[in-house]
Amino acid sequence: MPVDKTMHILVVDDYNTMRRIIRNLLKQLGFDNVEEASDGADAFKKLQEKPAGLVISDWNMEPMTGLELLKLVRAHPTLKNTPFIMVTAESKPENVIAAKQAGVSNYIVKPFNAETLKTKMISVIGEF
Amino acid sequence: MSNDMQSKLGRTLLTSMISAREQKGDITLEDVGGIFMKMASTLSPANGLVDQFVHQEIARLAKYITDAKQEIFAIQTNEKSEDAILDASQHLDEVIKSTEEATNTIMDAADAVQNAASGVGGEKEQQIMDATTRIYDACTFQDITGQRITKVIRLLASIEERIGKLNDLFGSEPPIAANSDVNGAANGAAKAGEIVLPKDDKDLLNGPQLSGQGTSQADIDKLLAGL
Repeated sequence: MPVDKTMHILVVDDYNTMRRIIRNLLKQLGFDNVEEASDGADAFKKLQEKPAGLVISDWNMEPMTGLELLKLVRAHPTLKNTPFIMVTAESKPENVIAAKQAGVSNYIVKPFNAETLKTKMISVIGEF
Repeated sequence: MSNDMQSKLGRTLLTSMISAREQKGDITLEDVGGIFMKMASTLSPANGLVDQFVHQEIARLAKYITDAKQEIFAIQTNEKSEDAILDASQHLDEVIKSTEEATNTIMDAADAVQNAASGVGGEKEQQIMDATTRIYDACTFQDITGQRITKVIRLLASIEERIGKLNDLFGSEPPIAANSDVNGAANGAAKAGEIVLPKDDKDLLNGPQLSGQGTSQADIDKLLAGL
């Protein structure tokens, strides 16, 4: 089943420029229905109001980190199966393991390019 | 405090300092702490309120010196914080380098846009030239941030020097109750090559690694595939 490019995507990062970059990359890939959140708490509130087909989240944010957001999402009865890609500068193996144990769908380390984002998105939501 | 008391304390202090100097050749703050403890032992709370007060104050001062030494020693020997200042300076150097590289890329792109726009003519060409000029103006941030960061790097170097001097002042011997293995004790002994997750998620917040020290996307993909 082809991916619906009108799907709602939530981009979470405390750095406005990074959110802008990811939004632009998604637009180049054909995804225009993009919402932004500035940290985990803001993102979780928005997800509860409007579930997303994909969450792309940074890790190191305050007051709620991307890992904490992921754990909340995976514990939520209706959000628990939301595809979740961590896009972060945290690159130690412990981080990858902790994210995987928390249920991350895929993991992108910053800096990254459009091709990497596309590849990881395909692996999570399917070909487009 | 009575004159006799003052004389007694003074004699004890002087005798102790001379003895320490003769034995060790120099006196550190830790030695001074030890001398204070010795002085406290010459006082007896049973002798009255003044003795008791002075005894308590001297003991408190000695403990303060010991605690301060533990803190200074922990800064020098804690595996995480030992390189913290050097690490911070290196990260800031990387910031300067990477913002410089990014700025050059932005300006290269702006040059390309200007070259492509030349010959378009009319208002469109002017709009494009104006926009690219604003890009160049904005790129001056790199120079300003570089100067600010250099100031911070110098400040960190100054702090590191002061910590070194404080450590010299306290002497090089570790305090008896030093507890420098914060994370190691919390996580238990790990076998070589074993990845041990910290107990607190907050300890996973390390930020970007220095060039050549991080884990590549390819290695992360392999690790994920194996989990």
